[in-house]
Amino acid sequence: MGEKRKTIVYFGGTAHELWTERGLEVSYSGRTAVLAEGDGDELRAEAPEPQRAGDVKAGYNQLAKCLELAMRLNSGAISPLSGAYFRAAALVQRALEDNPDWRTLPATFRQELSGGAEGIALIELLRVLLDEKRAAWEEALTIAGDCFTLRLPALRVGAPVPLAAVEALQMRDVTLINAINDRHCQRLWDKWPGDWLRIGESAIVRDGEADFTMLAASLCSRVFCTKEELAGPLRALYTLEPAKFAEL
Amino acid sequence: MIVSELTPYITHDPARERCHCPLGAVPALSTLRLAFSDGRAAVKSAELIVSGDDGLELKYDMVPEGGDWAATISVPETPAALWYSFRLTLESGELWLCAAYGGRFGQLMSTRGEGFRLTVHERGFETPEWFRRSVMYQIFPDRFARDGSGTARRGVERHIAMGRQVKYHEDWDESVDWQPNSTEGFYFPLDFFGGTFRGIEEKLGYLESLGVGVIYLNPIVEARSNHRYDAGDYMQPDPILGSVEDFERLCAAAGEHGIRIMLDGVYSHTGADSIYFNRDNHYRSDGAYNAGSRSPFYSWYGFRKWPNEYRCWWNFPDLPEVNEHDPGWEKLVITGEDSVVKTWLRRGAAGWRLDVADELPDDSLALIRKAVKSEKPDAVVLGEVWEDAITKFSYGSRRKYALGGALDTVMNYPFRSAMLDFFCFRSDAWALKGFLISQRLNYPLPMYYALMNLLSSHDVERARTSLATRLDARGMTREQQARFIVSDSQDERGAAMQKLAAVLQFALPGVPSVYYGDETGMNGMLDPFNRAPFTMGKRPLVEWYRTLGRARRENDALSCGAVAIFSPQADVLAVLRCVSGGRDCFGGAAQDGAVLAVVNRGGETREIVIDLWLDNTGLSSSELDGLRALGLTGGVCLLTGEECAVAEGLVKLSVPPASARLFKLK
Repeated sequence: MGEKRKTIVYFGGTAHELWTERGLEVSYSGRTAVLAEGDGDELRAEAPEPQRAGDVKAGYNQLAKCLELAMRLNSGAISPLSGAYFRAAALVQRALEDNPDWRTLPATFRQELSGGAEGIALIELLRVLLDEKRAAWEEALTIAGDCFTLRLPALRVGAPVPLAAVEALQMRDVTLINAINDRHCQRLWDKWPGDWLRIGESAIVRDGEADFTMLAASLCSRVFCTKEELAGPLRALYTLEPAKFAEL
Repeated sequence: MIVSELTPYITHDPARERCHCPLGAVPALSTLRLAFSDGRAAVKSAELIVSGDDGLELKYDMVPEGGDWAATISVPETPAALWYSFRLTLESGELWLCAAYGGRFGQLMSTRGEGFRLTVHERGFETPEWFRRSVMYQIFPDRFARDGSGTARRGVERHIAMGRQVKYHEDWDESVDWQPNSTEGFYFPLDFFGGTFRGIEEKLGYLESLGVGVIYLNPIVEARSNHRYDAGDYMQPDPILGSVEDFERLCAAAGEHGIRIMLDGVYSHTGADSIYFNRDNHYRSDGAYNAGSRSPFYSWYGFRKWPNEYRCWWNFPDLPEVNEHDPGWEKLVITGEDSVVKTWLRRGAAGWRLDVADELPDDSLALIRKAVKSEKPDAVVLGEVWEDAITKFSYGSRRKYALGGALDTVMNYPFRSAMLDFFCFRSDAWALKGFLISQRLNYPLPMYYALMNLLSSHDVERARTSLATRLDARGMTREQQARFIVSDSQDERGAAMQKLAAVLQFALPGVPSVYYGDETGMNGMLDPFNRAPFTMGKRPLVEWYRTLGRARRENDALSCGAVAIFSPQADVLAVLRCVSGGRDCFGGAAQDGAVLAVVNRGGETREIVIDLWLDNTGLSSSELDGLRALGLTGGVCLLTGEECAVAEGLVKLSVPPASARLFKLK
């Protein structure tokens, strides 16, 4: 029996964005780290090995925070979004570890989304591609879109998520969601210039909340859904990009 | 102007009943609700400002209503072209919500900008139903069809006997004259090919097969030139065309084919060579020129110094202008028991196209309308107007002829420009849709459904030539135009685009007007090259036009249904027409149904989805409800036989390059 795979996942903190000659450099402070151990349904959280150097008391406090977060993750005493983020961040990191050439990632890494909070994996992949792999924006969007398929169940899962909740998990993800929303609205604008009412109805971000179904439908290269979804919430998007939609 | 972060949240869309109810132009004194959305609840108070000419400004307080701010008003009693905007008070100060994107949507501004348009028309404004449902065919009478009776040749001899230097083309296939033919080096259109009333009569079966319901004849009265816009005698037909009896027989025969005849009235001026002016002494009359103040017609004209200094139309000495307020002129042309206007209606005409209507005074136009309707209540009055007929400003005032008291309808030249721009790739489907919806919203509905939607006429290049060459012939000399040859590949492109343009022309509300020879693929630059004898071009589209005419005749949805306009992609435009509840937009009986026209001008197949249920494409909410109630599930293309599926108002299509579809939905 082999050793279980371990991956560090960071929660919260502050992202510092600095534009340099190399492009955008992102650094973090105040994050809480947990180890994701195992795979799939067996994925569990552990506190990482304590850092002994430096301020022992601060290190102890940090470890305590990590332990507490790990316990809450393992016991399920967390929000669905936090759980989804934990799994998504681990999944994405491992996929990229397994595929050193990230440009070919869609060939080996394919995931299905169902329109709920697990859609944060899309944003996480995008974030890592942009911030760590230094992919170009459009290239990263294409790769992320090709890695994920949206398959909406007959009964919708997940409600719009407050951006503040996403920000508490990964600040950069909110920046990216807003950027994706801008791009999405621009495409709507190109089709219905000036029609803010229609654009607003189909936006990803509305009233400080992110619609992960709309986000996934906007980014994923393939969308499977019922005809009710096509005729309902995804109607505008369907008329925008009919080729990527398939009826369940 | 500022771009406010509130822009996406504070909006107004005149094509949505939520913002503008009822949609479009409204009758005087009717109730209208105008509203804007306030998605951030940022507005503290709001005022609706309605403005018009002569300093008109009306202010209405607005009230919050479920996320919107609204004002319900009684529109003014005087028909007028008006504008409105919204003055908003926010925490941060005052902002204006004004028109942007061609008037289609709102834009927040720091100062007052362009207003949204609001057309108020006369209560009870009606236009003839038969006309709204018709397909029009425009004929330049000298150039459509000869007959074997010798009428034309005898007519030419009569002109020559009067002393006129006219020419008769023996061969129908000769080129039109265009070279200077006067000592001053000008070109005068004095060459005749000899088309006649009987010639037209012999082609009525052909016209019926095209689905034609009304023939518009360019002037037919006796005149010196081949275009006859220089009337010599208003009461007599030109002898080259035939006699009064020939005309009456033509009208009667046309009636048997379900076709009516409309005439061209040229009333802002006469010919100098006329019974009324008689500059050349070709008539035995005491004309204003040859007899001076002794002439009963002297007061018609504006002599600065008799006889050679007089007002003339666009300074053409051959076209002396008349004073339309002269009682004698008014009686002879309009009001008299046997006036020109009434006499020709009695002879069988079904209406008048008024030449340069925007140069006739509004009260003269109103008198003409009254005379026409008193003589024949269902006769039509159509005006030559080149611009937006609602906002047209001429001779120092805003014209009101399109608001119900004068013209039933106008020549829709802006439609032609917008269509040619689209099919010549000078604009895209979004721009065309914006234009088409603005016409839907800004013209009084009775006029909108009667607009003469033309692609060609005697005054502009033929559509085939425009679409083939993508040139503006106005920048070319007559000589250049005469020598220009439309290449085979250009003609092929022109034919392909003309087919698509015709589909939209027949699918949109209004009266599709086919200029003689457009259906046979004739080319032609500007006058006189657009007036060549009727012939078969290299790539005729007669069957195409027949199919479109049949579709329009057999589907009430196409002839009188409500309209929605879509632009799913830059190269693709779609038009939906629908009737539900057994009634058309005017409450007339009509067969339920829906027809969807789709054109793809581009060079690639387009995968598109059209959302028929979109709420701001031209349909009112009751029309949308009616459309939903039709329970559409599919359709068959009347052009190709191809089928399509409709699910929940969504139509997914694959439209090949440079192609059109006309789905009858069911």
